[in-house]
Amino acid sequence: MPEVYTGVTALPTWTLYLAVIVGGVAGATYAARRGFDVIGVLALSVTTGLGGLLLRDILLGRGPIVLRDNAFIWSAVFAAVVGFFFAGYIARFDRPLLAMEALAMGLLATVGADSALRAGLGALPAIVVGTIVATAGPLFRDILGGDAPQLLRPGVFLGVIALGGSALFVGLDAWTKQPLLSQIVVIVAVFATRIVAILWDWETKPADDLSDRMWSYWNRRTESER
Amino acid sequence: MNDAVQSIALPNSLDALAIGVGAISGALHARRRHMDVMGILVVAFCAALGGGVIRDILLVSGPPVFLTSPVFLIYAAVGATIGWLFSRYASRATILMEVIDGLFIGVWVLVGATKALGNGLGFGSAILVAVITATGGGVLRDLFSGEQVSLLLPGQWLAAAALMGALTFTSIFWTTGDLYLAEIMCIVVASGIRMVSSAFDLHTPMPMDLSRVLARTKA
Repeated sequence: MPEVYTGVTALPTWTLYLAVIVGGVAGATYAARRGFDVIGVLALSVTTGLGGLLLRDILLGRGPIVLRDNAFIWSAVFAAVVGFFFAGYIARFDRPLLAMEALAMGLLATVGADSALRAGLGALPAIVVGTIVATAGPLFRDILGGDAPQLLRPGVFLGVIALGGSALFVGLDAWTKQPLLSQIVVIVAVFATRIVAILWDWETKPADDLSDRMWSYWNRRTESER
Repeated sequence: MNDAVQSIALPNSLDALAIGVGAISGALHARRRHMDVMGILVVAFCAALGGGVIRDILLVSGPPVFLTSPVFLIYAAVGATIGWLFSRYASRATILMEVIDGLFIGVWVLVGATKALGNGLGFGSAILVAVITATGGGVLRDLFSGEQVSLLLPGQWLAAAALMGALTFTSIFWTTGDLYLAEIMCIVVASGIRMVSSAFDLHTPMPMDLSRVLARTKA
């Protein structure tokens, strides 16, 4: 096994395995609910669980860690087995799964942003990579499942939190120079925001168009001047 | 150990046949959906070469094979042209193409698995890469035609056959270390399952919700 950089700064690697399992279980239950077969469950568990980390390594131009370290694949397969047999139980524990997904999203965002920073990228690219790593799994799941990606539709408050989390991490990391501390702070912050968003039904809205408003503002100005 | 694994080199005629058939079926798929020339070309190329492209991106082993050995492009182009201009003849040979497709699924699994092992990946990753090599083209084809990815839907053993072939290959190679035997068995198992499943219309297992099963036994 060649020495590979996993991108976790100080948190142990098994946290990433857990994140993969959580994402994989979410993907597998989605597949079971959609009426996919055993391959569908496996494929969606693998893509949802591993998609973000896979995309990170492709973006950073190196061999995907999820293929080098077999524990990642077995985590995803384990998640698929859970989804294959226990989709009904998991559907009953909807909220805990959402909470764990929120934790995983914070972890993935920080890991993505941090590995981009360590690969020598700037702050803005690191924020983008962090956001992509945190959100790519559900995005792949929706694309393969034939849904309009939840990430892009108005409604669920998800991508904005990932973006904010990555930005917060990059800022904190530059300010405090303590990756572990910033990582934990960001994970807690992302988790708290996501939970509050779920509890209070925060929703993102379709994009506003400011052009009309700008025109009416301008017209009012000119009228009052007259 | 993995240094000994050389990616097997198929005879050129087999390569041409496999890629050509993939491109023809892709082109027919696009034609049925009334795509234009560009659509037919893109879908045919994706169906024929897509799996290998995804594999080479995952393995980070330089540019995808179809760019480094451009003769693959020519095979795909010939297949796409046949499917485009002579669709009536081509669609009459559907059964023949299905047989060829079924035979080659084992070969693609094999190519993917040996290439992954040759790149120093473990067995779990090799299985994943092998299945992606064999089935990635179909997934790309469905995504580009804006359809439900048929691979994930319940139906005949296609990706499942590839998965079985990959499992056979890695388990035989792991236990006996005999690459030759593993290769033969991989093709036999994958193609055999594919053929049997399409001959007898066998379907893949569906997720079983144990919570419902247990509730029923309790009641």
